[in-house]
Amino acid sequence: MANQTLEEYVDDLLDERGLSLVDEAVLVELRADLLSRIQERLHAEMVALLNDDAREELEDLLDIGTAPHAIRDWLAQHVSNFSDVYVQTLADFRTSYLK
Amino acid sequence: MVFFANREQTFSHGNDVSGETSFSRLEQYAKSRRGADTDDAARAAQAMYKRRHNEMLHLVGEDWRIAGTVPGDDGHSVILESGATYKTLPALDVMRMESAASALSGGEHLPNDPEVVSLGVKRKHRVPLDGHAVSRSVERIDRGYDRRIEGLMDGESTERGRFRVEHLLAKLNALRIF
Repeated sequence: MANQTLEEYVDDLLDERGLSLVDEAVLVELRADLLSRIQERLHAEMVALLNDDAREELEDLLDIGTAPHAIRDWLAQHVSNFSDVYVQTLADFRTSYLK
Repeated sequence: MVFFANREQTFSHGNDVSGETSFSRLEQYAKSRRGADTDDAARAAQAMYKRRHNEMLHLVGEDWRIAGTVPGDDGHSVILESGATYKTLPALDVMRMESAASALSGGEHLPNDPEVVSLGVKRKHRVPLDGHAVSRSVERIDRGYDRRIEGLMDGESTERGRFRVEHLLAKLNALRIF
């Protein structure tokens, strides 16, 4: 899971849900929609684990237009157990989606 | 279901439900709720509109797509497309899409509207997927997300703190970080 891209992860979810054979245009929308929801959930989980100072620093980084990959690196450094949180969030998401 | 029960009342107020107008209304709503500047409000409104749109696609069923909206005597209609088949949902307000689509996908609660009943029945025959179950999946995800956000907000003791968390999340969500 940790080595998968989020796109691959979403494709696996849709496949397991039996949705990988729907019309391509619909699949594109479903994929984008799930991808967006996973990312929003990841953001919420990460922000929840940051203290006030870290949140302020993150907001400053966002305000000056820091590149997304640099924001990700920053989160990896500042969120305790970043990898565990990331993997657990995806696992919980999968459980909710496939239940 | 609530939407259809109050349909006449809803449109007697002359709601303009075109996507553009609804977007503008959402922007105003977001602005008033968040007290944010115009750009933030626009981003929030865009996210809300997009989410409503996608929710409807999930709820109605995966082989139906929203082809567009057209003006009508009682407001704008949403045109649903599936292959070469088109159906019209009369005068849907974007903010009510979810409840209308829930009524559509719920089966046992189909509203007493020939056009809509027709779509609901047709969907059961055409769609090899369990659209209702899929919509429940998304609902579960969104409920979990909402609980998480509520938890985050509850952790803030001041309105300013809640506003800052909300702002921070909006900025993160506007990017593709992961």
